[in-house]
Amino acid sequence: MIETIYVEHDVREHPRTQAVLARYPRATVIECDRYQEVFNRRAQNFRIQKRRPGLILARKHERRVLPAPAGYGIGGERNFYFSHMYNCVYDCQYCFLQGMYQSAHYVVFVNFEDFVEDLHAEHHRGGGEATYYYSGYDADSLVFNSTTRFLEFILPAFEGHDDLWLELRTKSTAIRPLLARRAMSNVIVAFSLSPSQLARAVEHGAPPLEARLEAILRVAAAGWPVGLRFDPVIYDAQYEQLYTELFDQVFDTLPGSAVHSVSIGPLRFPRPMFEVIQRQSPTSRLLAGPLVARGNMVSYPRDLERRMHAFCRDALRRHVPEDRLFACLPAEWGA
Amino acid sequence: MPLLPPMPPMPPMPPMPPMVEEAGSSGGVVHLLVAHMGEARPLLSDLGLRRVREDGPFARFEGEGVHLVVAGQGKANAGAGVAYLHARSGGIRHAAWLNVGIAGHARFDLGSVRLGHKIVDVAAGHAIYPPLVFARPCASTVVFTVDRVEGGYPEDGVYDMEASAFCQVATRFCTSELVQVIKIVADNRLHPALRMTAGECTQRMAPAIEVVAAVIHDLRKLSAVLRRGHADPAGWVDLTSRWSFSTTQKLQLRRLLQHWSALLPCEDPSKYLGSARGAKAAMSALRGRLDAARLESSVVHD
Repeated sequence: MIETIYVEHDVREHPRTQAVLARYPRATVIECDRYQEVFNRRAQNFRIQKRRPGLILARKHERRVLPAPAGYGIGGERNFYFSHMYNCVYDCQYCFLQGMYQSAHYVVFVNFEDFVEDLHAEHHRGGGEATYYYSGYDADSLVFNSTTRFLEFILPAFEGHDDLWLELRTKSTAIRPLLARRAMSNVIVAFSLSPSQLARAVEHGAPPLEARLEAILRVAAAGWPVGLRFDPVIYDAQYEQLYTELFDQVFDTLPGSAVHSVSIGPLRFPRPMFEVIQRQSPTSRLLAGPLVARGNMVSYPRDLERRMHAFCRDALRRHVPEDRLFACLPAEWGA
Repeated sequence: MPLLPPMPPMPPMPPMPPMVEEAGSSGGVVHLLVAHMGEARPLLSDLGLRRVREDGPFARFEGEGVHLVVAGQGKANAGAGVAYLHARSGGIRHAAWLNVGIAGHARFDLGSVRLGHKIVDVAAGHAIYPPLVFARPCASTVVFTVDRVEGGYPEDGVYDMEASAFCQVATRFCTSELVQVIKIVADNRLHPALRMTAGECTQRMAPAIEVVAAVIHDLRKLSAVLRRGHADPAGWVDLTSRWSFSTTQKLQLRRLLQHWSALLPCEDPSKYLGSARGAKAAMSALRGRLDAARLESSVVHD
């Protein structure tokens, strides 16, 4: 429930702002000049704000489309991400957002048209080469859509462009906007999955695994390419058993042939963000695990990470063809 | 936002017992700042606050988990009052701050209570947005902090003379979610800001005390959450009293004991010290047990 909505003066009369405000008629509306006056200021506490985050409606003026981090992709060479929203409704213990921002307010940029313009411009710069765009880097792609209606705007922009790919990364079961329209072969609905016991322990507020699997089935049945994202792979003393059960559960539900792509990524944090997250959650069992500093990242020790990665990759090979399996690793770590 | 007469000298008070809330405790603490004694009186009686006998430029009161300073009118006094209260109450970390006081609004009824969701320093032209992360017992509004009494109420918001400076200085000492402003309307267009006696001020404030107390209660809870999160982990006192740890070693020890609490909550770290004779050896012994636990443990809590 949103109780407070901050609105940039510049977008106060924007039709999307009006639509959002109409959705929350009881919210207190507070005008500001720029969202940075409210969001991520000095002396803010992410964990305390997360108890009752507000919503900020703003305009994104620049840097709307950015190169995806190296090693992030599903086979294409030109990978970019964009964020029409900052921060997530869920509260996953491993999420880098809690270390990246001091503020837990949700920021929604209402100038969707500018995002689409930039997506097409970037594609043209590639001279017709396939371009992959990832949504869901700074926020879940689906869970807040009933408020933002972003899907209803962005999906038509990808229609009829076979060399323009969009990945919607989500843990949400809010799939109605997808089921309400014809499936698109260049839009991958990618669900993040973890073993149910681990998900319950560290993915606070996210739908249980069973609900996500149900959503995957329905999306796949409607013809949408489905991605499975086992990222991050989390260490647990029983990880082999937990992930074996997870893969069995997934592929008992969904035939491997119905899957567009599967990616595996290790638990990893940029080092400065890890320090912040650890200060905020000093007794988290996840963060107290066998994590070590590796260059600018914090992750599991190389040998352990390789063992876990190899285990998952081998287990997944039994279910999906090799060419649909991708590693999501920082480039310098190699596959 | 009426002008009040200067504060009368305080009557002598009996000696005070020691502070109920010590800086080391993990209970929640709220610091209150008011401009005038007339604003303080209903709070003193409702919260059971007693005056601290000390030489100082401001009157200071305290009770269980609540400290209050009477800072005087205006931004400079408010800023100085915050700094004074912080220092004199022992520099308590993660204490919440609340500015309580009377204000003016063009139309609001006298006695209306409003939390501040945007605090505008009219002279400087900048704004602060206190994040409202607790259940609100009343509506919220913009607070315009002015340097001179504003009787025209040109904008839709309440007018005061302290809030912006209060917020600016208080956020030096804690996170902004714990710095809040609550104002009680004491003048409007029908009842303009004239000289108001302390008694009249108290009268205006009194009906709002229940709402103010609810905010104080919630802020204390938030303060307690932060203070618990930063409390010394189990084993800390024992280990640091046995050996001398360097500053860096203390940071490492704190992290190590926090992880110990997460993964080995039922095990006493002192049992693993063996024959350790110094800080380094003690940490090494603990680290050995902890490293094994990191691989044996489940992320899922038993």
